[in-house]
Amino acid sequence: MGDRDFKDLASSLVLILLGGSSALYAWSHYALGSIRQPGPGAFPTVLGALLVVFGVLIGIPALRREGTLPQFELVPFAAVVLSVIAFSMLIEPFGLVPSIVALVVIATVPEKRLSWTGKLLLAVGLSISCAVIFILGLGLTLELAKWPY
Amino acid sequence: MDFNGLLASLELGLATALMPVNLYYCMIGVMLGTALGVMPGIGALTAVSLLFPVTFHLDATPAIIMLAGIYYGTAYGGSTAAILLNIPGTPSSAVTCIEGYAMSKTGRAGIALFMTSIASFFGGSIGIILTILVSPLIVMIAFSFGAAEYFALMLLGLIAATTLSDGSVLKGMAMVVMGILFGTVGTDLYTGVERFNFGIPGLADGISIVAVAMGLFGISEVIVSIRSGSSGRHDKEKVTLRSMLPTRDDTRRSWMPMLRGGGLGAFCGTLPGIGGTVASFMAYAVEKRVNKDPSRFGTGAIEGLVAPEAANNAADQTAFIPSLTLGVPGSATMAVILGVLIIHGITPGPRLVVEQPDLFWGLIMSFWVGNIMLLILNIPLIGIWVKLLSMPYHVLYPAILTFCCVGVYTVGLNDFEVLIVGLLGALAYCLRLLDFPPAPFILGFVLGPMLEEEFRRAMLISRGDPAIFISSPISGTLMGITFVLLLVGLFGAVRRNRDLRRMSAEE
Repeated sequence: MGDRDFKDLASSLVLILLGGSSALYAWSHYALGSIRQPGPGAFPTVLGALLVVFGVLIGIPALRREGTLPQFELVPFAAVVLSVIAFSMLIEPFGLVPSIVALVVIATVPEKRLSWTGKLLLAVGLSISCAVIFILGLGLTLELAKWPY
Repeated sequence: MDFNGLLASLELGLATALMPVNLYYCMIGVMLGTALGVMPGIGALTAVSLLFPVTFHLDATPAIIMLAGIYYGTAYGGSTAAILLNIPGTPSSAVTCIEGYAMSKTGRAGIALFMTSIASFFGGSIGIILTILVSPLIVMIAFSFGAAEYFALMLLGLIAATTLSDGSVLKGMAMVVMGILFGTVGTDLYTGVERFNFGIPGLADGISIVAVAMGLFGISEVIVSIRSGSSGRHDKEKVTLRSMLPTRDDTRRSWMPMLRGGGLGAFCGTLPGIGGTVASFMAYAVEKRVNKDPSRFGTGAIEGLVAPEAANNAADQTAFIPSLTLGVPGSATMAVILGVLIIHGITPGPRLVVEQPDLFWGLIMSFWVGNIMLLILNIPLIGIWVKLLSMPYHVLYPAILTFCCVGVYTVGLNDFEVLIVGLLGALAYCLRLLDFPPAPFILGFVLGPMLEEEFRRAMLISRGDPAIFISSPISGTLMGITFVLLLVGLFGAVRRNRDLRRMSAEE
């Protein structure tokens, strides 16, 4: 609880920063063109400016009222996002199975109900299903595992 | 309209839908759709996004038939979860919980499940008939559309989708704009300039719709649900075939509500921004009002169960009308399906209906085939769906994540796309915490590039005179409606602010 609506103030800030930076970037890097023949920069500049306007419209009333703060779930957030990023890094050099194992292990960090054997069994089960669906079923050329060095 | 021509189209459609390969993928689609729809927290949008990569390597017709099957299959699955567990598996089955779960508690779960399947089929059929009758007419009109009309139509779709949805209108609109902005990433069609690629080669073709859909609806959903999403426990009551047979009284009570609900839903589905969810709530309200004994509602009134189910399924079918005939999706799920069609090299719009009649009519007739399959499959397979319901979330979510990653990777064998999914998921989670609705983003993302193209084309045609958007009767009317909706939406935003302030002052 705060004496301002910080949720909407943060929303406003996000919109103003994102909109402002895209508008400026588009405006300075791409041709705006003319009204007769709008260039590649025209649309993004207008869109960025619109976001700033929305940000201001959301932010001003938020200054004059109280609000609740959202609960940011750091551990699940970090685990899930990092597990996906890990998969994206591992899939090319190491192949399917190591990437799935890494994904499952990282993603289940916030989960206390799952033992290590449970996690490994899950990873093996998912590897088999993915291999069946994508390699056998759809006939894609995915390597199960490889060693790049 | 020429009746024989329509009949010939339907025949072609039926022949296409009944081809073994299409039948096969239709069945896989509706089964997977039902299975995912049963699982709590997975709606049509997530199901379609998750399973899209599986369809990617098929031909266009079976691919779209399967995707459509997944889409309307989730509605069937959603109502099963709603009746047995009081958990809406999909948002559109939230109303089903009210009467369905009440029936379940009084030992009538079997009848509720059976009548829901019948009502869904009935409503779906009304939707299909409307689609068959209306689509050719819209196609005829759509051929006279120029750049200005398309621009006006898309603008209307976007504004309607944000102002008619609940929550903050301003945040909805901001999400649309953000979606359009993300849609501008990549090579500009007119000039070949690469926009917002920051020197990263992977961004030259822009961000793919699959990555956006999975990040927005797959990853961020998982993050939210890890802490809150517990799977339901349901008392192991046996749902036998015998317990499913409705009494004569049940059937007698259900006819008119199914008809009314189906009609209402079929109409609502065609309108942008009003999908199955809104239609089902409206149908429930209507039944409660016209019923002679409204006090029965809430205690397991079958009218309040079948009408929303019929409405919801009818709306799911008619939502395809604007998407396929005009190329303008009315809902986020339709936007994803449309995006998928475009990846398959098919541009939805009036030309699709004329140039690829087998795909268009085949898809529509496959709705019927799929609905019949659902009707037949759902009843004997209820035992399996019940088992899926008790799948714990800590097993489910690693599976969802794995499927997202492997799926996105296989679409283009591109590891960069997977990275984008992770980053967009992170962004989507933060936006979600700040109460930004995710659906308008995807609508803006899909419509954005088309919107820009039509705008620039219209400006070229009119030599920079913006009056082109209001001078023709069609685009003038559309712009007028858009303007009114915008005023209504902004007025609502002002009022909402006042209410919020009053509430915070009273505390």
